[in-house]
Formats: sequence, C-alpha cells, structure tokens
Amino acid sequence: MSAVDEYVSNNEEYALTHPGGLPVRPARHVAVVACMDSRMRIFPMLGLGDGEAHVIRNAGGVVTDDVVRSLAISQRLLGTTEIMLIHHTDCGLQKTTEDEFKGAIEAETGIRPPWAVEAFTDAAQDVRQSIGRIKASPYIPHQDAIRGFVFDVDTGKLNEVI
Amino acid sequence: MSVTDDYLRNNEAYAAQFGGQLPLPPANHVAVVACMDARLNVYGILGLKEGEAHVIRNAGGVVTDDEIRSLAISQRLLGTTEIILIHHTDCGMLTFTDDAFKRAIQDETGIKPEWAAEAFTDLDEDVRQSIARIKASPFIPHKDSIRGFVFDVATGKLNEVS
Repeated sequence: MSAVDEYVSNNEEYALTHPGGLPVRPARHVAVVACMDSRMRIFPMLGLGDGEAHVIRNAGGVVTDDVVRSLAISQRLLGTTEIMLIHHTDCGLQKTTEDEFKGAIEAETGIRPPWAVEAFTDAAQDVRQSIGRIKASPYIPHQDAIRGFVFDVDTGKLNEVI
Repeated sequence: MSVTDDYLRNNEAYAAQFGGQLPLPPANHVAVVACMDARLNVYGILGLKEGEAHVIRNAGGVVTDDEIRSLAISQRLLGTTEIILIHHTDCGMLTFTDDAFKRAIQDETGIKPEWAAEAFTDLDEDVRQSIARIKASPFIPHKDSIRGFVFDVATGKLNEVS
C-alpha cells in the first residue's frame, strides 16, 4: 500500500467529522506564506481553525511571482488583510546554491531551469527579503500588517524577525 | 490585538508539547500540491503527521513555475517520489476570469500583472491540466506516481480525478 493509498483511506475517517458549510472567504482575513517543509504542520502550529486563513506554501516560503499572484487573489477577491511569513531552521534551501542546483539539473537533463532556485544562507535575512518583495509589489493592496517569523524545528517555537 | 498575535499565543501551547528532532527529508517521500483555501486543513484531510510530506500550496493548487521549482527541490534534494494534487469545490478560482482580474488591477494601479491569474471553469479539467504540466516538465524526475483529487468542502471527501 503506497503512502497515498493510506492518506486516501485516512480521508474517509476525516470526512465523518468534517465541518462543511463554511464560506470561501477566510473568516479571520489572514494569509500565511510558509515553507513546504514536512515538519511544519501549519494548522496545529498556529492553532488555525477550518476556514480562518489562506495557507500559501512553496520551497523556502520565499515570495515569488506565484506567491504575489496568490496574495493578490487572497486580498483582492477574498478579503484578507494580514500576512504572516514563516521560514524555518534547518531549511533545504540553505543546503544548496543557485549554480549548484541548476548545474546538476543541466548536467542530467541538458536543460538549465529558467527560474531561480531561491536558495539562501540566512533564514531571518530571507524573511526580510520576502517582506521587501511584498512591499515592492503594486498588486498587493494591504501592506500594513505583514509580520515575519522563523520556526524552530527543534523546539516548535516561532521567533519573530524584526 | 491582531489575529497574528492570537496565532502566536497558540504557538506557545503548541511548542510546549512539540516532539522535535525530525529529519529534513519527508519520511513518506510524498509531496502534496493543494489550493490555499482556508477550508483545506491538509493535515486533517490526509491524516498527515509531522515529518511525512511536503505541502505546497497556492491560489488554485495550479502547477506554475514556482510549483515546478518546489517539486524539483522536493524530489531532487529531499527524496520525494509521489505527488498528490488537490483542488476543491467552491474554489475562488471558479468565480472570475484572468482578463477581468487583470483588468481590475490595471484600472486601479495602472499596471497589468505580467503573470497569469490561472482562473479555471472546470475542476477535474484543471487537475488534469496540472498533472499534464508536471509530466511535461524536464526538471521533475519522478512522474510515475501522480494522483489528482477534488476535495468536496461540503462533505470533507476527496474524489479522485481519472
């Protein structure tokens, strides 16, 4: 049985207690932008209830055009106004570089990715970089309540980036 | 007090009983690509535990260059081999068109986004579109185990797209 089969069977149990009937607009008007890391279970980590907040995640939790697209839809169409950014300690993107990762792909496939890997060395600095990119975007109307954090994968704590 | 402050208080309770010390590569070698929708508690829906799977999310759960980047990092650096795609009923992306969304931003800011909004009209079709984009990418090595689902926000059930 593959992991996916197991997850599909878990879902049957979940559906028995699922709270249906919630609206599409997030009740607490928040969008969370976080790394995809498997140790960050965003719902329990923040005590998020169903229907409260958008959760946008990618490798690193970095702000790319796709995150700007998602935040623009979140704020303009679905009424969110606050943004929480979450990077974390021991991130995979601290363990490679643009040239190393893209060079390996080029060596194997003959094609060099046209996108940036978005590798970084300092998590707090990259949180500031991500906030800077949101603030520089003309497409995101609400920029007054943006806060950034680094999640410690050893302690489970969020540490705010000032 | 902002919503973010509430979530930070919740995090203190979470950290108090946090397990910690899990490795960076996901234990079940799975990457989930899902919509950012506030009603999709991916951990509950799939019974996902800490450290098992990457979770990548954006507006729609559509496969853009940023999903390809994240999946390439997930598979090449962190050893995942299976992919689960999750769209859902009552999605915000079903309620507008790319043209209208970009026109509204252009009217308000004077600037037309250089990215596609990725609106769609048919959920199953867009799941198949996302799978096809992954299969067409030269940067993602493991494509044998990709399965797509539509989550029913009313019942909590995952319905597989064939």
